[in-house]
Amino acid sequence: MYQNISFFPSKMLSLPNECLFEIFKYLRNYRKSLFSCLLVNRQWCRIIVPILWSDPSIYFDDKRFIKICLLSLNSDEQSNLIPYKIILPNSKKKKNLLFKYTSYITSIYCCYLNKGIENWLNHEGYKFNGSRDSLIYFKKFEKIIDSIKTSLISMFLRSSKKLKHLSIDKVIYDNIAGLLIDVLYKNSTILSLNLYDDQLGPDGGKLLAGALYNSTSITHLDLRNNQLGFEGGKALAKALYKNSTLINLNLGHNQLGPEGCKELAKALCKNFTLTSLDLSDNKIGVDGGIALAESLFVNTTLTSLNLYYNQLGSEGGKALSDALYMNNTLISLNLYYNQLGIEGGKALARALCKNTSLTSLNLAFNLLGPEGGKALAELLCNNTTLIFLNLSGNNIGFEGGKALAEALTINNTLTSLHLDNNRLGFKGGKSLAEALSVNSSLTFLNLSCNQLGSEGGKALAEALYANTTLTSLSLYFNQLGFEEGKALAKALYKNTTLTTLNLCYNNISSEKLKILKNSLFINTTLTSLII
Amino acid sequence: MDNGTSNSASENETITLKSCDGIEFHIDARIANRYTLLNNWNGGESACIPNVNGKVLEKVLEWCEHHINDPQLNCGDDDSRRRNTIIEEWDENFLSCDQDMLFEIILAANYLEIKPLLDLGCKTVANMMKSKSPEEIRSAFNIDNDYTPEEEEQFRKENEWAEDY
Repeated sequence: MYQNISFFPSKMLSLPNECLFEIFKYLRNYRKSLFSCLLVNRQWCRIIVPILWSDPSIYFDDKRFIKICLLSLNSDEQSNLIPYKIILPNSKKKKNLLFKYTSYITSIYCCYLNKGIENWLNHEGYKFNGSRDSLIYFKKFEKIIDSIKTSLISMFLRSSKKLKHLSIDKVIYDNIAGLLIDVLYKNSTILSLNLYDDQLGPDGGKLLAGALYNSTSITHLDLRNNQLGFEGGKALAKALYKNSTLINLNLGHNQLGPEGCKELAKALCKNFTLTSLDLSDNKIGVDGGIALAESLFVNTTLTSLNLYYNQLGSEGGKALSDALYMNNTLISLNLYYNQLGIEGGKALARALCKNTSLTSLNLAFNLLGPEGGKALAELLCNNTTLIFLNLSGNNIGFEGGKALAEALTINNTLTSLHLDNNRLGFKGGKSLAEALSVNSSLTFLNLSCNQLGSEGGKALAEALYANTTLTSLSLYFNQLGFEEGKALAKALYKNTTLTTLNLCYNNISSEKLKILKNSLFINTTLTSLII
Repeated sequence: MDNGTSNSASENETITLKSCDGIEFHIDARIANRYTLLNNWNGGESACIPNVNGKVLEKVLEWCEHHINDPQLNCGDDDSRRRNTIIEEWDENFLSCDQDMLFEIILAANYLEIKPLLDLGCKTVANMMKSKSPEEIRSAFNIDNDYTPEEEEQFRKENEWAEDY
């Protein structure tokens, strides 16, 4: 039994387990080495097994891994599989595992299991009645995979004592909902729970809200696309009054409506932990916007709010603007596609002249028009905190573009600006080009789909001689010709900062594109070129 | 990290440390201030350190002296530190000693709660194990195999999914 007996045992053996644990942790990403260490001796394996099994999701596709997990099923979990006549590994040869391996698992990403189960089934030579290509065969096979997956997830939920991250997909959720809610009530280790696309519905939302109400561990909850509706939203809002651990909540695509949003807004006045809230696509409307705005007067913890596609309208926009005069914690606000209109845009611009916390603002597709563009230009002249601004698709026109260009000669903080789809025209392009030769903060600029034409293109090429900060420039769909392309290439021989250039969908023939491609890659700092 | 009271030591202040075999070291008081445990013993001008002999303490203090101006670590970034196994050249030379000394340094750093030195030592040992077979690791560190052949085989089988990468 004792091979390799040495007379001078290594000092390594005198290291306490805590030191060995530190050593092996450095091998966490070197599984093969960790596997070797596992087989060195008994003391080491006791330390390494928990490390090796802590995060095995990337091995969920391995049939050998699945086999070991199947050996850990208890009789209940096995009995789910009886109808499918699957011969599980331990019914062939009764042998206990050396460790309760699955108790050490800390993260489970359910979707990765399918491949592994399929591999295992194929390896075991499972053949089913019916032709291989038939839909019936496919459906049956899919059902078997789902059943095995359900058993495995049930086993993980039962046995894992250190579970931190859990992601569950739709089919499985229906099968294990009760068990999951049970675990959530008892378990205090789960930090992030991902149930998007699971069709929880209002009732599922209520069950989960109950668990969240009591939870003292969950920090991230993703419930995107679950048809929670007003009832589900209301229940979750109630949970937010008591819960004091949740940091990140995603309720996007849930038909919360204005009323559901109002409940959440009320909760935000009492909650002091949530920092990120996503309410995308919930039809919260003007009323929901006004309610949220009211909560932003009081709330001092939320830093990120996503209200993409919510029909806020100019009234909703104005209400949020009023709140931004007072609120000093919000850092990122996404109002993409909300019909804010000229008035909404103006109100926001005025408010942000006084706000000193917001660094990221997305106002894409909000019908701002030239007037809105001018108001935002005014903002850029006065604001020194905004870093990211998205104004795509707002028909700002050359007037708005000109105003923004002038602002960019003054502003020294904005680093990222999206102005694509704005009908800037060659005049707007020329103004912006002039601004670029002076501006020294902008690193990303998107001017795609703006009818810049030959004059705009040449002016921008000229600007690149002087500019030393821009790293990414997007000019696709702008009616640029070969001459403008050549001018850009020539400028880039001198420019040493631009690394990304997009020139797709312009008026350059494919032969000329080849020539351009070659010259653009020689003697320039470009690392990414899309043409 | 900052306990507010003891970071005022000036450059010229020294204190005396005594190893378990009675060897005395005069060190810059800032070193003692940096590390909690040394600091706790700093009741007067001298302190006795049981469990660490002169030869090892000399090495440990040499390391502390070289790193006296390093920025203090935040306790929170545990995982980011662990992601890389890169070691600076000076540290690599410093730990190119015999194996027994390396383990003595790890033991001392653990005992004295000198976290960065402990990390460095553990990282060095981890690097020594990379890309080796179990047998190679056993012989490199002079470790006996106490598995029964059946047990070893079963272990291999139960964890073989990790072997490929």
